[in-house]
Amino acid sequence: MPASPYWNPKTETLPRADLRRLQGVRLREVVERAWHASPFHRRLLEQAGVRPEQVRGMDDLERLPFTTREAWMECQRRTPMFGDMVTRPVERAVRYHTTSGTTGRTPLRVLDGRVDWKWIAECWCYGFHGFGIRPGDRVFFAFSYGTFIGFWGAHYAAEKMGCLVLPGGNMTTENRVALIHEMGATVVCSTPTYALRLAQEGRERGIDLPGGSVRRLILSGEPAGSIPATKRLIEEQWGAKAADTAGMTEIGTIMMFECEKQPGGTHVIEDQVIEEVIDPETGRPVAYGERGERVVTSFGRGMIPLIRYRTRDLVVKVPHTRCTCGRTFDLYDGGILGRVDDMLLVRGTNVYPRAVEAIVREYPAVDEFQIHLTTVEGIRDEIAVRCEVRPGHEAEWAQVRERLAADLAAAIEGLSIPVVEVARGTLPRFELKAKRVKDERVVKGASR
Amino acid sequence: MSPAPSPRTDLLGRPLSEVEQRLVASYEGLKALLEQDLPPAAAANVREALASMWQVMNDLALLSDRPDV
Repeated sequence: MPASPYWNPKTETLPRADLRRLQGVRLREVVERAWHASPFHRRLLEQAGVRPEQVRGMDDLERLPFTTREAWMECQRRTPMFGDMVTRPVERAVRYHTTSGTTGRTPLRVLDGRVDWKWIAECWCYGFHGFGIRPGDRVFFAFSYGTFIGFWGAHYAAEKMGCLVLPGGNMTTENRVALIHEMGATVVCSTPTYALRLAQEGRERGIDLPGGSVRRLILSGEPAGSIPATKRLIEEQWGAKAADTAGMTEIGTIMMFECEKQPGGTHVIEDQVIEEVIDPETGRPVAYGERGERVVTSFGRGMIPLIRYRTRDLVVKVPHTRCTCGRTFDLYDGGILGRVDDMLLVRGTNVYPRAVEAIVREYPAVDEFQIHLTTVEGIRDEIAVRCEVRPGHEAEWAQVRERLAADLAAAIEGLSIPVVEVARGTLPRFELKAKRVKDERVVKGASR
Repeated sequence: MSPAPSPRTDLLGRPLSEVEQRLVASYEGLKALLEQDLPPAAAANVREALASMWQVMNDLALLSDRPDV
């Protein structure tokens, strides 16, 4: 049999009508199971006046109530430690994980059973295989291996596929680069920000990463993996192709991946999840091509069912025909575009950090940057982009600064955004999700 | 107890291929094994195998089932 470009050809190429029918069957099962085993979900369903037998297929999806992070947190607070969402005794769990807590909130705590945990790895296999990773690849994980879910599922996916796993936990950046080089890693998994940091370290240590063994980068954890300028920069600095993936602790795995055709978007793994896109204000579905909030229903996680979960991620869904790979899974154009609550309001103008990054990364002279917000004269919001200049680009910096400021103003409704140089090593570097917004305004509540 | 009779169609109502029928039979066989009094070494590894085989049932849309392992 010829090698398949698909991990699971049977469902990855299903006609859309059949795919929808399969989703309907699975939706019915998930609701039935949640009704009987999860008091949290039963309460929500009862409040919405829905019984499992009323869910016959995808046409009934919108009858189901949304689940929110706030409700999940509340149920954990009322029923410590895991809430009454959990369908089985804690003794049946084999994994404990939490959200990263990078937003300063109390992290969500999640449990997975044996079947769940293998499913989490399975979803990563769709992405790895879809981007050309095969048995025999040497996959390095630039990841801390703590309770944050991160690349845990990817690690087990690589094992399952027959790759050589190179675990990079508890290592300095210098040691990670050395291991990648020494072991001839062919694939590196990291956040986009950290991929750039590793490349920088390689340059400083005289290690030729672009001329080395790495042929693929799997990016996750930040929207930047789908920002063309950032991806281009990463690919140049590694001499390898980079693909975006996106997941979340709440489902434990990725729900989208970029295939080898790289059509500018990520395929949704639609046989394993339902992904809806809604207007975050009204909760109503939006059409293909319109920006909205992702809402996910997971078919695979049994210990903690997830039904119509409001993710706060912003996306634009486009039909599968946008890609020529043959999958019938729809795509998110440009991956995750940001968060519903990411938007900064500066003197009446909406500023999206991702839009700023998309412009800044067009300039190779910028090594690292930060969006800095302050209050001037006790009342006026000011915004600036602080930049560290990449070594070797100092001579051109004055020109770059002017052009970059002009590009930012042109893209963001004429808002004046000064570009300010800061000394090398001033700005923080990140291993996990980067936080490039430093908001020191006196009053932020009304504008965030 | 002998394994339950295997289904002849997948979740979309399509007839199972011969290989799919064998996969379902393997899955059902592992489930049946867990009903036996197994030593820890066997029980734990059969549970692992069953959890892995469930991924096949799920990926290929062969069965609606969720083993409690």
